[in-house]
This record gives sequence, C-alpha cells and structure tokens, in this order.
Amino acid sequence: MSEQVLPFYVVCDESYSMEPHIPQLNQYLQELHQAIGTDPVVSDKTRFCVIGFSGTAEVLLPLSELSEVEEMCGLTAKAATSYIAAFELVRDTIDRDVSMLKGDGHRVYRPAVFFLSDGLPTDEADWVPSHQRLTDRNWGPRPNIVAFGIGEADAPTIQRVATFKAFMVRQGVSPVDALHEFAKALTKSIVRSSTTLADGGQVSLQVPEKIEGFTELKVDPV
Amino acid sequence: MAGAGTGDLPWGDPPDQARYVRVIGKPGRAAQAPWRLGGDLGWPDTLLDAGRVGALTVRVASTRGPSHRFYGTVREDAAQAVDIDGRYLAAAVADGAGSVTGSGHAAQIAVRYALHRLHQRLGRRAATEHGGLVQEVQDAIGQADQALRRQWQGPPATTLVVAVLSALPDAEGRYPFAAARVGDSSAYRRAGGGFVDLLPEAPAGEGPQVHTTRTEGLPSPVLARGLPLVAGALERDEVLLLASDGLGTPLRIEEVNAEVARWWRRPPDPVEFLAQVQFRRKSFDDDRSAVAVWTSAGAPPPAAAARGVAVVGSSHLPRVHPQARPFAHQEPPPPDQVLDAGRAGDLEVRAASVRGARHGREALARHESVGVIGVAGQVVAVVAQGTPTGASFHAGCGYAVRECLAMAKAAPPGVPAAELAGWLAGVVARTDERLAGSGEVPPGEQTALLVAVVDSAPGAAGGYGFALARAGGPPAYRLSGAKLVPVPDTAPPDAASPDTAPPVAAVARVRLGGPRPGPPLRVASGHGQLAGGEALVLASEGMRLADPEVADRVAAYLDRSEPGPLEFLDALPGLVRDEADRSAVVVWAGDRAPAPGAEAAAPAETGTPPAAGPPAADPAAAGPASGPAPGAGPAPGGGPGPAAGPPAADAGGER
Repeated sequence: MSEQVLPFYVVCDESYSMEPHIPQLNQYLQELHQAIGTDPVVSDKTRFCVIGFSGTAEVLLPLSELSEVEEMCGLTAKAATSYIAAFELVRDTIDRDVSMLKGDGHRVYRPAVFFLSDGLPTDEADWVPSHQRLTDRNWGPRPNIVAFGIGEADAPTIQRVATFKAFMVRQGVSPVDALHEFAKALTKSIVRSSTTLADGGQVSLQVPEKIEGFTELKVDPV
Repeated sequence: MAGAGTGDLPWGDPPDQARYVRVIGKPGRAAQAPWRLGGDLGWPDTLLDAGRVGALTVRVASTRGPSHRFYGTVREDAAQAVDIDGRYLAAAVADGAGSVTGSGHAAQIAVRYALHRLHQRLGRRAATEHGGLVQEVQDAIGQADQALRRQWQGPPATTLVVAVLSALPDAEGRYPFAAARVGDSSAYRRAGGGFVDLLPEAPAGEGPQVHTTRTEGLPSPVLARGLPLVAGALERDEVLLLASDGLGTPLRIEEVNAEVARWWRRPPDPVEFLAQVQFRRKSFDDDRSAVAVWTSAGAPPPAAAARGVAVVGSSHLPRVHPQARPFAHQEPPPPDQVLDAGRAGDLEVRAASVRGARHGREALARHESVGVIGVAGQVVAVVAQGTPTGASFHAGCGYAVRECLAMAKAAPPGVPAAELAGWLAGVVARTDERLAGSGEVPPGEQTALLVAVVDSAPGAAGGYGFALARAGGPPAYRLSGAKLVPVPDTAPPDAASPDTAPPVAAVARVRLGGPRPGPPLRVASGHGQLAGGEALVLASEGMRLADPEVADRVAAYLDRSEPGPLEFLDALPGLVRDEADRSAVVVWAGDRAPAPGAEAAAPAETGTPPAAGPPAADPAAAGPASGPAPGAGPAPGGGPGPAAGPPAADAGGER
C-alpha cells in the first residue's frame, strides 16, 4: 500500500465502420492526455490504459501514469469486431496490471473500464462466456464497466456489456459529437473519481449523471 | 509539463530543506505543485498550536492537503486542543466530508462543541461531579451531534474523534485517558516504535472498545447506541495522537508509521511538527490534522528554547489557553499560528499571524488575525489587531477579519481595484457596525483593521492596481527595490482635522468597537499600482515597520527571498526581536508584466496615517536568544533577521 492507485481502461472499437471518426477520436484522446497529465492531483492517483479491438485486440497504451506519457497512442481501423478478443485481453491485462501494482505494494482500487463500440460484435453468438469471465464475482479485480454505444451499436448488447452504467447515443447525434461527449465524460469521471479518493479512501467510480447526446440505459445487476 | 496556469513566480518551500519539506517515499507531483489561494472565507490553509498543560506537551496542526491546495479549495478538517484548568487536556479532530458542501464548517462546529462540553463537565467550576472519562468523551460527541443538528441540518457531514487526558500523573505516575470516534478520524498511541490505532475498524471482541452500530458521520441518527471507544492510561514518555484520515490512512503503511513514530519520539518544535504532518507522499493528498500529546515532556527540546523564533507557544511555556469564554461566543480562541499562502493570477501571497512570547507566557491567546482570499480577478487581504483587554483572547479581530472578507468578497465585479478605495472604506465602516451588532464582541474590545484589494492581473498600464482602507493601526507598505515605503492615504479620514496631530478620541473613534453609541469611525483609504516585482505589505503593529531598522531588515528579507509558505511562517517571528504578536500579509506582483513606467502610487498625495500606533515602543525584553536552529537542518527564521540563504528560486514549483 505504498500508493493509492485507481486504474482506468479505455476499450475502443476500431472496426472499419469507425474509420471516418478515428482521427477525431485520437484527437480527443490527446486532449484527455493533456487534461489529466497536467493535473498533478489526478495523475498522481490514476493510471490509464488504451485497448483497441477489431478482429483482434491490442494494448495500445499500457497502463501508465498520464503525466509520464510523452505521446498518446492512436487508434487505427481494421477488420471485424470481436468482443471475445476484447474481453479476453481486458481480463488478462487487468489481471497482470493489478498483480504487478499490488506486488509493488500499492493499494489498488477497483478498475474502471470504459467500453466504446459502434456496431454489433462479429462474434455475436459466443462472446458471453468471455464477458462472464471478465465480470466474474469470484475474480477480485473485476472491473466496473461503463459501456457506450454509438453508430450501429445495439442497445441490448451495450446494456449487457455494462456492469455499472450504459449509454446509447441518441438518434441524429453526429458521431463526432458523440465521441467528443464520450471523451469528456471519461475525463470527468477520472477527475471526479480520483478526487473522491482524496476524501477518505472509500473510492466509488464517478460517472456524470447526464451525458449530452446519450441516453442512459438501465444496467441489470450482475 | 508545468502545472496549468502557473505564471512566472510560483515558489514553494525548498524541497532540500528538511525543516520545511519532509518526504516519505515518492513525493508525487501534487505535493510539489504551487498552492492556490482558497476563495472561501472559511479559515486559513494551516493552523498550528503548541504548548503545555500540566505535565503534557501538545502540538496541534491542521492543514490543507495537496489536492485542496492545488485546486484552491478550502480545508475541510478542524482540530483543536484545550486546557481544562490545568487538570485535563481535551482534544478533538474532525474531517468534513468532501462530498458535502461547507462540511469544513460542520467539522469546526463538531470540534468546538465537543471541547466546550468537556470543559463544562470537567472544569473546576463544573456543577456536578463528572463521570468516568469514557462517559464524558461519549457525552461530548453527543453534544457535538446535537449542536450540528441545530446548526447544520444537512446530511452527515463530518467525522469526529475526541480524547481527554489527565494532565497530571496519578499515584502510579500514569495518565488516564479516554477517546471515542465517529467515522474514520481516529486515536493512536505510540508503542513499540510505531503508532497503533486505538479505535480500529475491527470487529468487536478485541481490546477494550465497544463496537456496535457503525456511524460514519455527524449529525447521526444512530449515535446513541455506542461508538468505538477506548479508555486507558499512558505511561511516562508516551504519545497519544488524534488524526484525520489524511494522516491516518498513510499511517497504515509500515514505512510511514515507523518514520512518523521516529519523528515524534519527542515533541518537535511547532514548525517542524507542521512540516512532518504534511510530509509528502505520492497519492496521499487529503487534508491532514493531528493533535499529538506527549506525557511528561522531560526537558524542553532544545530546538524550541534556543531558536530565535519568538517562542510561539514553545514547549516550555504554559500555553493551550483555557477555554475561558462562554460558548455563546462563536469565535473560538485562535491557535498560536495561522498560515495562508498561494497563488492567484499573477500574485503570490503569504499571510501569517503568530502569537508572541508575551502572550504565550501569560497564557493569553493571540490578539491579532489575518485573512486572505482569492476572488474573481482579485485578492483580498486583511490584518486585524485587538487592543489588549486583559481577557484571555480577543474575539473582535477574528470576527472582524471574517466579516470584512465576507463583504469584500462581494466587491462590485469588474471594477479595477484602484477604484475601490472608497467602497473599501465603506466595508471597514460596515465591519465596525457588524461587530457592534454581533453580540459576540465585548464592548471593551477595540480592533484596528487594514484591508486591501489587489488586482491579480496587470491593468492596461502594466501595473497591478490596489486599494486600501484602514481604521487604526499602521499603514500598508509597498516593497520596492528592497525598501518598504508607506502607502500614503489618498483620502484622509477627515479632511478638516489636521492629520499631523494625534487624533482626538472624543471626536472620532480610531479603531473598530468600543461602546455605542459612539463617535464616528475614522477610516482612511488609499490606492495605487504595484509594478511587477513589487509587493504590498500589510503588517500589524507588532511587526514594527515604523521602526526604520526593522523595516529595512524586513524589506531586505522579503526582497531577496521568495519564501515558501512554511519558511515565511518560520521567518516572521525572527524578523522582529520583540515579544509581541505579529501578523503580516505580503502580496507579490508577478514580474511577467513589463510594467512600463507604471506610474506607481500617486506620490503627490501626502498625508500621515490617521492613527499610527505608538511609534516603535521599547524594543521590549529583547526576546529569546538568537542562535542557529539546532536539530533539523538550516533554519532561516532563527536569529538575527533572516539568515536564510539566497532563495532557491524555482524551489517549489514543478518547473
């Protein structure tokens, strides 16, 4: 328990349908980097990881302290949308990160996953078991998942992915606006959650009540 | 990366000076970031208290953590210790919930009422025989709860830990004590080289504590049924510690616990204690409060006795002034020292008020007060000093500072400071009225008040406009080129009266307060511009800036140093070899602005201060011996003026 650490994982859909919006999303990630990286209070306590997924999944930015990251990673569009690949990699990554942090003597708070998808999974039928492994109550570091659906994403699917909160973009909201709101909500969540941490050690994930352009979906308790 | 919004001159305490900066493990960035002034009236960044009661030595500190300092938000912790007729020491620490607005106020109420209750019950004049210490502590928390219900009415807003100790050893040479808590502020005892939580979150059955209903904060609907509590007795040379979780949480780390226990084997001197309470460790950025009590101090620590720093309630003095006033008076007795500091726009601000040796010796509280806040585009600073009345403390100056700040905070928006002089004079007059109408300030008390508003960004001409108003007390000074020059009153208080003649008391009141109805209050005002690199200095009479020798010394120090907050607090007593209380606010203007020939403070207008205090009285009993500070590292505050080396220019800021 050397330091108090609150890890955030951003898990982003990089399928081809995202292609036109990826430069914008990359821009927003850089803004997030700037905002968090220059706030010493927040960056002292949070770690940030970016995972991109398409047919496969990849850690684009390993769990890092944003004030020490020189350049933010970028996403690139690829084929397919495999939720299985995403969930498996997220679980493995969290597992490894948390045991490493704990090994270093840190007190690690429950990780938060911000999941963003713009379509149906191409492995529609069989992603559920991998999701169950990620949300397994017997697995200590299971994350709180906040899921965002944009584009062609399907509300019931987004609802099932989330364990904490789920948001679906409203009709008629442009993808760029939606991504911007997503990035803003993520930044706010990181800042607020880490400032709550200052208040007494009982951290709870803070997600804005309202996110412009999105409708909140009910999340079934696991 | 540089903290966002930092300008040219964020400076902090030099990390290489152990007297001011302690680090355990990695310091983290937040603790090294520049502080921002709070915009809340609440109370200062830091309070610090020290003294003895019976055979106990006490240190109290309550400070903003790096998070509140970085964001410029107010401290939410409260802490206090009081002497109960030399027989008991009562202490309390409370921590307002970050999620509840104004919770720092709730924390203060909780501390004050709990201690008041203990004083009522355990004091010599108590109406009834008191119960066991455990019951009394429980009862005190109950009283705090009720007070919060009356005065707060919001959701549970604060933790509270209360302890009472016998100030004198019993027949076996032990010191009976009891403590209880609500929420995660707790009590610790130093044992076996570490601090042990006496009121742990553990299930019942172990140790002496009862543990039934969990209550996390006050006011609480379920308080009655039992709290974590402990009773016992300290041996000689033990330490009892009350701490908010800002300190308690890192104390759960072995490395931290061992280090703090090592520091506090013996009572450190107050400034050192403060530096230790706010040790830096990455990610631990909450406010911290601690009351530490040492049994049978043995010999006073040489550090406190030998340092030139004017003894601010050092451990060899009887201190911890009694809770002498009835609690109808909302103003609590002020702690020995307060400190506020930080940045607002291009301005870097230091404010401190320190009790002098004379009041320390007489167990009287500080009779002065300072306050400073950052508001939209401006900084408001106030210095108040009360005339001695023989009472143990002066309610008026603290009250005046708060009221004055509250009103000055509502300055007409968008008006340059230099145009606010008349308005500010009105604020001083209204503060006087409020004081009279408050019912909290005895009519015999009189208060001198000096208030300033300074723009935190340069105006068109490049200078930083300011306005001043005052009643009684010394004028403000401009620090320019290592000289302190009084800022003349541009609007004499009373054009008809010859300013050079001493004011006639029958004609006008010079200070705030006094019996009513009375003659009108004389308020002087002035305005001007600070060039980049200059500073505005507001000081109490105790700083003795009217004495040219002292003024030169202070000017030289302020000019060559960019003192970090603790360094400033530490230096203040040593700058004047006197036993009086002293208070000062220094507002440096950033030299970012080119300040082209900023035609500074209207030199034409002359005018003597309306009511300069007694000019530099006798240099008093020459204060304590000067000398190098022993113990922890170099101490610029000691001895003959500031022996501080050249300042580490970029010290505190990240870069």
